[in-house]
Amino acid sequence: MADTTKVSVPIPPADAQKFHTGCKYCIVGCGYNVYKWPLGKDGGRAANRNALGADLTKPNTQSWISPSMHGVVKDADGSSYNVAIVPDNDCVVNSGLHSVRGGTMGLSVYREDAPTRDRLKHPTIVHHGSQEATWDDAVALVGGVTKALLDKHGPDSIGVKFADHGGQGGGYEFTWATGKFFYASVRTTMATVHNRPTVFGEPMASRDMGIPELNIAYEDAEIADTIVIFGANPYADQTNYFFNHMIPNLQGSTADKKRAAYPGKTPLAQGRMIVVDPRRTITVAAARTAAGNENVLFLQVTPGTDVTLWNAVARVVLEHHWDDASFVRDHVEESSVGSYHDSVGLNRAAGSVLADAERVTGVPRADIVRAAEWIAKPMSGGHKPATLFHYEKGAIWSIQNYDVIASYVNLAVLTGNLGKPGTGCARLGGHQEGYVRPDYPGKRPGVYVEKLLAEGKGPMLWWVLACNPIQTAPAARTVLDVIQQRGKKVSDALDQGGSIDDRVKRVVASVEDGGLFVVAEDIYPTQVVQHAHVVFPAATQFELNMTSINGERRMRLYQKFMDPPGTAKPDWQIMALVANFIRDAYVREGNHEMAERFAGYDWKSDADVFLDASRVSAQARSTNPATEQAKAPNAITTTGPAGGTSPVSSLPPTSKPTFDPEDISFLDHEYLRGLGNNGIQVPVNVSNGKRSGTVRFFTDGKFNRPNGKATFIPAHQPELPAEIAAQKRKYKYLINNGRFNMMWQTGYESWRKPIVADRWGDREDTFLELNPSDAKTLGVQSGDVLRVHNDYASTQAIAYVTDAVKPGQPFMLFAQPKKGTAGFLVTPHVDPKTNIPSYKLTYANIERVAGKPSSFAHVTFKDLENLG
Amino acid sequence: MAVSRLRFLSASGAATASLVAGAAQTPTIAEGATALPRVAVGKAKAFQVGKPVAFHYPDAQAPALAVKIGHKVDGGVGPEGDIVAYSQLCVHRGCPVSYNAGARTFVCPCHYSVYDPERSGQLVIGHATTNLPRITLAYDPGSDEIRATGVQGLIFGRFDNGKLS
Ligand code: SF4
Ligand code: FES
Repeated sequence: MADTTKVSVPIPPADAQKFHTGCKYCIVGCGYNVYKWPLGKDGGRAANRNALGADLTKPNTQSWISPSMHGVVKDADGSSYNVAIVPDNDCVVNSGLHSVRGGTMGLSVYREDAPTRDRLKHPTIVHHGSQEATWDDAVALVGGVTKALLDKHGPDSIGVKFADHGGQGGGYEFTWATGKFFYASVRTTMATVHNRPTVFGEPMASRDMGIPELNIAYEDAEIADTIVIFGANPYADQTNYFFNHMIPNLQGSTADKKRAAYPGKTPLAQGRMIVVDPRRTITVAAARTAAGNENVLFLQVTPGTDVTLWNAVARVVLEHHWDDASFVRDHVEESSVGSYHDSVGLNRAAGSVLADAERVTGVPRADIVRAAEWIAKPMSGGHKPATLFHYEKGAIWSIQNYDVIASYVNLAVLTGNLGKPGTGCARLGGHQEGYVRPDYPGKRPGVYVEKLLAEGKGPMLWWVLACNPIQTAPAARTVLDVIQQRGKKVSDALDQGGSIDDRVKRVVASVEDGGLFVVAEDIYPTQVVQHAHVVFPAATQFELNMTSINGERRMRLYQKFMDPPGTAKPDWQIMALVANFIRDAYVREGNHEMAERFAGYDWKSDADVFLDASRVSAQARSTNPATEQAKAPNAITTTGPAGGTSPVSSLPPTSKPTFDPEDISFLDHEYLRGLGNNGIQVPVNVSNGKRSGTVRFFTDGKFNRPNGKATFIPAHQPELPAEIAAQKRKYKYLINNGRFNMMWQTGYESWRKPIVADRWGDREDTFLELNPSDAKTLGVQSGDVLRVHNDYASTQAIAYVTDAVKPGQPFMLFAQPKKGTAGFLVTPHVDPKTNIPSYKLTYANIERVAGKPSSFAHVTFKDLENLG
Repeated sequence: MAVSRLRFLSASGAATASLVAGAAQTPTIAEGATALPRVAVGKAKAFQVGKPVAFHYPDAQAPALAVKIGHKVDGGVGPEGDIVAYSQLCVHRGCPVSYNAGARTFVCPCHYSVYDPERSGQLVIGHATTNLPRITLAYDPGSDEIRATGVQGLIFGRFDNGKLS
C-alpha cells in the first residue's frame, strides 16, 4: 500500500546509516539525505532517539518523511532495511523542497513486493523467447559477435544508441565507460544518443557562438530583473529551480541579493517573467499567481515561428538603441554584426517588421514590443535590466533547431546579458548532465542511424543502452518495425541453440543476411528489452557510487546505499566485461594492436572509473593553450587507486574550442563525498592547492571560441519542412507534445509508482489536452479514448479538455509507453544542420473511439494548467 | 496494477452503517496504527455549498476542512451525500490549503499544488507525494450530526496520525 491508506511511517533511529544523494530525475538535481536502518529497529520520538534530531512529539514540519519517501530494501546478504529518502534542507539547490518525482523515490527502490519487482535481474539470451543466461555466456556471445563483425565488417557494423547524461541511467562513470568502449575501442560512427539521431548536442548553435549552454548559476534567477522562459515549463519540469529560485524573485523576496550583486542599482520590487509557449502552461498560472498578472508576459506563439518572434524583438531593441553596444564592440566578432542586423530587418522599418511578425507568430505586436522592453529597456535610474534567458525542448525540438536556438541566443548577445549576475542564456535541461567521453570518431551532424536501419542499412549489431528508441525517435514506429522484422532473422538463428561459438557464427551469418542483432542494457523490461536478443541487467542510481552535475554544473557524488537486484551490474562493469573478453581474444590471436585498443578497463570500483575519466579531463585541459589556470594538473594529488591505462594518447585531438564546460579535472569520489549535497560547480580550478568551482561562465568576458569572442549567427525563419507540410495538408490537428510533472521521461519508472499509476487509470496511456471547441466538434469529453493518426502511425490517447491549448493545437504527452506514443506520429524530419528532430510539430486526425474507461472512474480531470 | 490502491475504501464491519445515508464509512486503521477518536464536526444543515467549515482532527494540532461540494460525491456524507473533509495541511511542505469553490479544488498557496476533494483528495497537479489525507465522516440522520471518524493517509508532519505525545 503506497498512499492514502498508509497511516504511519517508521522513524529512523539515531544510529541509522546516513548517505547523500542527488535526486535521480530532473536536471535540477535536488539534494536528498538517505537513512537506512534494519527492519524493526525504529527510532523514538525524543530528539535524541531519531536520526532526524527532531522532537517528534510535535508535528515535524522540517524533515517529514512522507509514506512515498519510505521503502524497504534487501541487501545481497538477505538482510532487510528501511530506507527513507528525504529532501535535504541544507542543500542550496532545493532547500528541503521536493517535487512529486523526487519526493516519491522511496517508491522507486527495487523490492519484491512492489511494482518495481520486475527489475531486470539476470542476463538473458533469446532461445525460443528470452531465457535466463549466465554472465559468461551473455558476455561471450556479445563480445564474440562484436569482435567478429569488427574484424570482418569494420567499426561501423557496430551501432549504439546510448544515454549521454547524468542522473539515473547515466553519470560520469556511465558516459566514460560506454564512450570509451564505443568511441575509443570499437571506434564506430554509428552512434546516436538517447533522444535524437546524433551524438552532438541539442543547442549546437549556442556552442558555435561560444556560449556553452549551462552557463548560469541558479542564484541568477534570484537576481535577474527579467526571466525569459522559452519553450519550457519549469513548474512541471524543473520544479525546484522554479520554486526555490525563480518564484521568490517574482514575489519580491530576493531584493537583498539584487542589491548585493548591483550596488547602486535600484532593483525592481519584483522580478518579471516572460513565457513563450504555444500552450498556456501551469508555469504561466503559477507565475501570475506569485507575481501578479502585470509582471508576467505570456506570448502564445504559433508553433514553428520562433525565429520570426526573436528577430522582431531584436529589431525593436535596435530601434530604441537598447542593445549593449560596448559589450558587442568588445566581446563579439565584428564580422558577424552586420549580417545579424540584416537578418533582423534593420534595413526595414521597424513597423513593417512588427506587422509581419504579428501575422506570422500570432503574438500581438504590443506584446512583442513589451517583451523587448522587459528584456532590454533601461529601468528607472538608467540601469539596464539583468535578463536571464532560458529555453528547453520547445525551442530545441521546434523546426530548424539550429536557427531557432541562434535567434534566441543572439538576443542575449545583443543585449549583453552574459557573464554578469542575474544574466545568462542557458537551457533549462531535462535530465542531469555528466558527459566525459573520448571524441566521437565521426563528423557533425552525426549519422542518422535510425533512418539507415529503417532502410535496411546501417549497423548489423545495435546496442541500446539506458534508453528506449521505440518511444523517443522520430517516426518511432519504424524503429519498432525494424527491430521486429530485422531482429526476427537473428532470433531464428539463436533459436537453433548450440555452443556460444556456434551461436556467434549463426548470428554473424544472419546479420550478413540482413538481420539485426539487438543488445539491450537496461533496468526494466522496456519494449526494446522485450525485443532484444541479449539483455544485460544494469544497476542504477542508489546501487552504485556515481557522479552527476545539475543545470548549474553542480557536481555531487550520489552514494550507493543498496545492492542491485539479482546479478545486475553497473554499466561500466558490463562494458569492462565485454571489452576484456574482446581484448583476451585478440591477445590469444597475437593481435597486439587490437588488444591494446580494448585495454584499459581494469577498473576495480566506481571511483576508479571516475579517476580515469577525470585524468582525461585534466589532460585535455592541460594541452589546451587557452586554459591558463590548468597548467598544473598535478597540483593536487587525487586519492584512491589508479585506474587502468587509458588509451588517451591514441585519441584524436580535442575539438573543444577552449574549455570543456563539463570538465571534471581535479575531482575524485572521496573529495566529493566530503562536499555532501552542495558539491562544487565544475569546472574546478586550483590555486595554492585549493580547489574552487565556477559559479557562472564568461565573467572574464571570454567566450568559448578560439579568440575568446562570441559571435552572432544570423537566423532566418524556416519554411515548414516538407514531411510536416505533407501531414498538414492531409490532417487537421497540429499535435504539440511534451512532458507532465508527475511523469519522468519515458515513464519507465514513473508508471511503477502507485501514485502515478492511480492518477492515470492504471493504463499507461498518454493524455491529450484538447481545446473545448475541438472537443465539441469531435463530440469528446475528458476521459474519452481517442484514436490519433496520420501517415506514420495510429496511436491512442485519453482526452483532457482544457482551454490552455488553442483550438486546433492539442498537446500530447511525449515519449510514453505502449498505448499512446506521441513519437509514432512525429515525422522523420530532422534539421539538416544538427540532426535534431522536429518532435514538437506534427499533424494528425483525431477520432473518439470509446467513452471513459472504467479504470478512470476515480480519476480527476480538473484543469492541469490552471490553479483555479 | 494498483487498481484500487488509492480509492475510497468502502465500509468494513461498520458499526455506524445503519446511521449513515449513502455509503457507510468507518475509519481505516492500518495494522499498528493508533485508533482515532470520533469528533463532532457540525450539523449537516449548517453547511452551505462551497463554504468550508474548519475543525481539527484527530487533535488540536491538525487543522481540517469539511466542505459541502454541492452534489453527491464518492465518500460524501449528509442528506445529499456531498459533505467531505480533508486535512488542511498540504502534504508537500505543510502549508494550509484553501478551498476554491469555482473549481471545487483545494489549492496550496505555497507552491500551488492542487487537490480534488471530489476524487479522494487526488493530486490534480503539484508536488505532493500522496493524495490529500481524507478525514472520514459519519452522519447520524437522527441528530443531523456529522462526525469525523478517522483519517485515510498520513497527515503532514506525522509518523502516525494518532500519536503525537
Ligand atoms: S525538481 Fe527535479 S531534481 Fe528536484 S526533486 Fe524534482 S525531479 Fe528531483
Ligand atoms: S506546501 Fe503546498 S505546494 Fe508546497
